Amino acid sequence: MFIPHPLPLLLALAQGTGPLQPNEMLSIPGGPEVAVLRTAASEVVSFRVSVPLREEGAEAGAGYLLAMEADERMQELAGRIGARAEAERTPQAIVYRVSGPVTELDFLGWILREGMGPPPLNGMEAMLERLRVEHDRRLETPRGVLAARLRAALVPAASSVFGTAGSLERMDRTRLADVWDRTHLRGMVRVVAAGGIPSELILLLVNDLGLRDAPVGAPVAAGEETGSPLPDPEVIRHWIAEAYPLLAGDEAGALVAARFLGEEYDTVGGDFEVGVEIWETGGRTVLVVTGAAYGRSQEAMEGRLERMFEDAAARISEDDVERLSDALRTDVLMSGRTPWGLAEIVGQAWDAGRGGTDRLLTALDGIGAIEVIGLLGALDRATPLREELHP
Amino acid sequence: MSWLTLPAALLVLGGALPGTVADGSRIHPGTATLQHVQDPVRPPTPYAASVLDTDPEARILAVSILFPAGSSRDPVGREGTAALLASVLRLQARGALGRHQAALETELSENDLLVTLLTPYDAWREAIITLEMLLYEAPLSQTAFAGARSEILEVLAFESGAPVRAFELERARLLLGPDAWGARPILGSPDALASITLADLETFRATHLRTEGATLAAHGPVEAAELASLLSSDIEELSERSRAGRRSEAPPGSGEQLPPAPLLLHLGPHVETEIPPPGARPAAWEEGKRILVDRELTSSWISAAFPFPRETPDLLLQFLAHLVREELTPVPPERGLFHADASTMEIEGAPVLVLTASIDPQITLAWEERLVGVMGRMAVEPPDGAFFGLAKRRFRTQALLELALPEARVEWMARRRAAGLPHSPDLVGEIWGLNRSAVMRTAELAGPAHVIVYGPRAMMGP
Repeated sequence: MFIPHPLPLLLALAQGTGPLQPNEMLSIPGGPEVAVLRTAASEVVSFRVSVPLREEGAEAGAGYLLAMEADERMQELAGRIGARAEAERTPQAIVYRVSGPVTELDFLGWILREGMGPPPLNGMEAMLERLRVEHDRRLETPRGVLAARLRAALVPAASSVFGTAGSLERMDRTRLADVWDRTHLRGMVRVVAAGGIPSELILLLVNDLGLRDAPVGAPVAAGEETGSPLPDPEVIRHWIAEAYPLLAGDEAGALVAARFLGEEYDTVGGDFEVGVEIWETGGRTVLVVTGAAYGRSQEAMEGRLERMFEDAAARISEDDVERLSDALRTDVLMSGRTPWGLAEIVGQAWDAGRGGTDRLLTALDGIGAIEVIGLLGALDRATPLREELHP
Repeated sequence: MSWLTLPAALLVLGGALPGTVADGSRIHPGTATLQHVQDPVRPPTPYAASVLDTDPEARILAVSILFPAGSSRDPVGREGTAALLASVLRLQARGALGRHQAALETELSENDLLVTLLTPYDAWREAIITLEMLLYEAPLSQTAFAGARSEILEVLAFESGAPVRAFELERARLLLGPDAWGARPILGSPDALASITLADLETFRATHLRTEGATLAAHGPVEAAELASLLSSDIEELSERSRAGRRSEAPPGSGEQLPPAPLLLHLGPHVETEIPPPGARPAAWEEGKRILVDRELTSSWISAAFPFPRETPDLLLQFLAHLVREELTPVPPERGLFHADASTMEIEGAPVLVLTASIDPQITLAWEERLVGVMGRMAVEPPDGAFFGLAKRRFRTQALLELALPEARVEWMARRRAAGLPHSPDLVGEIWGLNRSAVMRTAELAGPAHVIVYGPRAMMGP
């Protein structure tokens, strides 16, 4: 069902020194800040440029649309020399990524410059229509609706990065241009560079990105969200989703617990599905449990969910915690074995606003069963936010 | 498609998950009980060759060990032995390497077995010790054996009757000969697998997984002296990036600032690749063959394989394959084409370029003509001007992005070393030295193709 993905959470948390700490921080007067990670043996360089973006009200979805359009443009250019390039909307930012040979540095800079440039005058309507269809499709599914409801309950003031029916209906080029204009600024952007090239060349590339010091156009009022009803999709099973907000400091234990629960429910028999995820939404970290069952198994599923944390606390062993924390640590280190993976780890942590990743690696190294059992006990006693869908 | 030269009938058997084991411990089959030993395991004899590319900034140590024994060494009637052993090692590694947050992959072909270890910088010694215990000493686990056999049987069941596998077998029989080992399924058969015992695997391991024939390649933040003492082998250093006196326990990225790496600009200097002289004869075969296998399917497969002289440089052949692949797979894709690819292989050390296409049966014969004629076209009219330049840049990017993966880099190092090819070549310079004339002259050297057409004969049209 849902698969716990620890990476965004891992990257948000740690501070300190270690293998994932940048080798160098370059501060350019007026910005941007640049984190440099050296990979001496690699002939490949990767750049990750993030443009922090928080949308208000009727802007919801603008960043996603800008990223979608930029992604198409960047991939077309990158294909000419076989480079890797993409743009993506994350919870915190629009992220532009390129990787390729050091010998193609100029071309890589060009791909970034074109991708980060202002939205084009033509072609946005088709993309906006795609986004509207994606949005509607998402809300036709029980997962999509439950996620939207939980998100709205957890962080009422936050807009959905995918947009809402209301915001997408009113989205236009003017609004998109305004969101781009006020965010793609020198002082706001963050750059991570990973590779074996001199800092001077990194600075040259960054200076050539075409970033401005201040917005050019007159600001467009964000506009209030007019309200977008969340539909009740037709379902043939009973669906439940429960959200447990976590405290700062719980995260290492939560990751281990989520993995343990995920393993347990991979092997559960019976007629129903259970899943565990960790979300980062609106600056909050949340453990989300979901279940889906046909009528004949609904009671069994609900009973299972009710006992989930208590049962896990009773079963989890020191060996389990050691194995799972080792696996999580391995995941992080292995994902950083390439220049683009390394840039991503450091960049994600930076975007989340909590410094480096190494502290979490240390926390995972030292965590024991007692901490995880304590967390499971606290989750068991907590009252979650709960949403349901029934046939 | 990997630009690395692949031996015939390559099969990747997948990855591993970490488990638990303490340093210097023995693993008892079927249990998690560990017993500490005083001395770490040493292989009985040094490796035939050991090469190291030191990267002080790497966060991961990657190690590949290439054993020159693959599925062709399966005992008669026990086909699948090597595949089963490779799977057992992988599964057993989950329980042994996980404490060191290391991961193990195995890759089996007709001719060799590649074992690749990835381990974080701060656990590499323990991981290597554990790896060598697994490969050479620790009893094979009954649990892993049962799990591996079950996995392979599932794969065989899933692929049973799969047209693409049948096509690949027919192609292997055409290229290698009907009785060649490469023409037999690497995974064996359910009957053969049922007859293989754990003792058979132990025998295979003891016979074929030996250091004296194996090549080891490593890349990461280790010093040659440290690695040499652990392996009891001489280590050949491919680079001078190791820093004398560097604290081996310090994590990469902390402490001193490294001097910036030299900038690799290849806008001018390049390395010329030597081409075999005109008239050099193809090595794998001298006369082409064509077979048509009539099967009631919804798509057709075609393969055209071209032999080249033994001295044909691998890089040039890879580049030629790249150009052909781009010609066959334009964007947007052609109507009726489901998939096309070009790759290189070796048949008893002789290079062969293999083209494959999966198409709508109605355009089969047109595509056969197209594949068979491609070398002729490349010999006369390869891409030129800016198109050639861009194709070369794409080839270079593809190669370098692939080698940015530590596991791909050590595999590449191990295979080159085992083949006696030069160490640490100036790959960027060599690629930049590829020119249109070299492509044309190489394409001229292609011998007559072996062609297999596989699909519904009644539906094939012009």
